[in-house]
Amino acid sequence: MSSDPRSDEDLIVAIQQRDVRALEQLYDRHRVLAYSLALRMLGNSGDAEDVLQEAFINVWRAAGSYRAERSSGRSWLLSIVHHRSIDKLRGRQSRLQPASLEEGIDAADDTDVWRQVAQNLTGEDVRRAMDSLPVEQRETIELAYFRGYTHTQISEMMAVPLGTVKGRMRIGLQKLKSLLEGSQTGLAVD
Amino acid sequence: MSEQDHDTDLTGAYVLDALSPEERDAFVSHLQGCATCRAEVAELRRVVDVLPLTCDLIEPRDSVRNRLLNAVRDEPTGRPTVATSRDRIVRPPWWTGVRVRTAVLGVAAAAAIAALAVSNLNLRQNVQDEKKTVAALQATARFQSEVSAALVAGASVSRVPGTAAAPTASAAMVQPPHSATAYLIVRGLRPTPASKVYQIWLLRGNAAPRSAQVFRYSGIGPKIVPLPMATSGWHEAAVTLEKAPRGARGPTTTPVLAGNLRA
Repeated sequence: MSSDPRSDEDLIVAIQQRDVRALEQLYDRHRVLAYSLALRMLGNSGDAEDVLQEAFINVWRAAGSYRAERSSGRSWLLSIVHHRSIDKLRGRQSRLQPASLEEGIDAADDTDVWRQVAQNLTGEDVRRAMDSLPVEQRETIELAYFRGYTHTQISEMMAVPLGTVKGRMRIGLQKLKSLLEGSQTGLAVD
Repeated sequence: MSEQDHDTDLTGAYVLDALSPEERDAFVSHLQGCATCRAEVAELRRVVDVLPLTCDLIEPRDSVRNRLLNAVRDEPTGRPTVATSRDRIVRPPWWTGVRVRTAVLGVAAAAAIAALAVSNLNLRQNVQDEKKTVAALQATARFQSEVSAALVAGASVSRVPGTAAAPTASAAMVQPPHSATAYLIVRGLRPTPASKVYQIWLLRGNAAPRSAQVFRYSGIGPKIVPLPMATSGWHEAAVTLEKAPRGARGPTTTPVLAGNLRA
């Protein structure tokens, strides 16, 4: 498989023009991470393979709806994989679009430190930051993102008020952002 | 929900996709008119975007790629911009080798027979590799399922990664809440040699390592090893290969697994 110098975003533009080679290239570039996410969420290889295939077919069909100003190509693809996996876990019909396209939110300003941070992050960086979160925040985020539980279900499981779960999600993600920025810039995090 | 009465705590649940469909629809409507929540959603989503990086990386089978490309080419609007014969025919990964060997057929019959034999060997190897891949995938999925179930039950879970001596191994130490026992979920270790056992050690500061359990491992799938004690008060866990059947009084070999334990 030869490497293609085009960016993910350029490949998606080419896919809009029905370029199968561009889809192959995008698949070759991101298949491992996309499949690993689906496998971690779904827990079996058959379902994970189905989600991987469906997600890329979704990319093929919906490439025209991709907006580079809203997310990177990889983030868009992984959000499709995540939504497909959530739908499978919750047994409901798949949504065609990832959420970011539904609410019409542009990406946050990438002129700040985050652009630099995100480019250099490794899995170990993110794992270490996750491990640094208070355990109840980390577990709440993992139960929601990787296991597909709703905040109401998590509230019942953990026997804590719904407001507590919502707070753990929001504050945990904010803290995770600070930790990741600190890990890349050397800035201390409270 | 107006901009004035917005519930900013919903932003985290929203970007994690943890809202019910009804809650989600209502929040999407709210976002249209609330710049504060829109900004926060955009901010938090960037963090969520990097969560997949924490996954153990596993290669999907080649057959998924083939199925995908076949499906795309069957789409009514799936006109490849560059339609070559290679685009239309999806070949298995060993095809290139077969094609080269096929050329040899025209040169000499003896060489052709040899080439076909090699091709068959490659095919058998390919099937065997695929079976191994499937087994590894299933083991990983079962491992993650066990860890997730422990997390759901409120247990404290500590990663105990493989060391340089066993880079493909990994483990999770699970301490259920209010329990006097713990357990280690192990995968990816080499099968235990006949005269050896794996031994689990708990460590704390300068104190002598405490032997917590010995076990054998078949080399297949995750194994759950119960510990007859809690891990609270211990700072690290390690696993070494020691003499069967009861292990050693202290570690005598380089750890194959080692990691810090959560308080």
